[in-house]
Amino acid sequence: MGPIKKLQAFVCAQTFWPQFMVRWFQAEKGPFTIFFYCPLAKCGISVANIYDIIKKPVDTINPVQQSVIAMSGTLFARWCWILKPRQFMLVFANSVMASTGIIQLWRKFQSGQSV
Amino acid sequence: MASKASGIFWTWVHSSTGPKTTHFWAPVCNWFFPIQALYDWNRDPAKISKEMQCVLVCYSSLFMRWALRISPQSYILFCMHLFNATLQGRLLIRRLMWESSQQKAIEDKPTN
Repeated sequence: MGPIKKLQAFVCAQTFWPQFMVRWFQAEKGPFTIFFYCPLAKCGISVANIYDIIKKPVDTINPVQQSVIAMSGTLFARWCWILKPRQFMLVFANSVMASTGIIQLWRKFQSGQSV
Repeated sequence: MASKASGIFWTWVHSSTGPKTTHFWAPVCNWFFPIQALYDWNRDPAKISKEMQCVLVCYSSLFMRWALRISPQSYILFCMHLFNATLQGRLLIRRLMWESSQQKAIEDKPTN
């Protein structure tokens, strides 16, 4: 058994967890699998961008990087929408990511700087 | 033979995961992340966002594992995220080294 599986077995073996928590720990897309953390990483890009919108000056905005974030977010939001089954949470996460990219590009455009 | 080859190509073009669909372009546009990191090879470290670079390195590291755990495995996606993690990490290291040199310059400044 790999280290993550051992950790999962150890955590699930504790008796103080309620049953629904144990079921969640053992879920196919639960917190001991990579499938749980990937959408969080996507949200992390949005959070970092929101932090940069609030805290950082306009001259630090990277227009190429923000264009890639906006385009990637838009395309992935559409892709998650047309997937079967429809992935609403990923649609939302990608839409927010694209929106933060567009806001950053708008700020850069408004300031009149190019790089 | 030529008509068979062009048949395969046009079959792919018109397929449900071909270049006329989002199924094709969404993974392709992911490649723009490492391409952007290459474009910004010599970006001024003062204008690199440390938080964004950290997040992009973590994002690509997690998706490297995801690309190998999905079925079917996607080695192309794995390679893309490997490049991205390395190149965005390089920008992060540039920023951290610049911050460290700025800090050192402040400490070494002679006080009057």
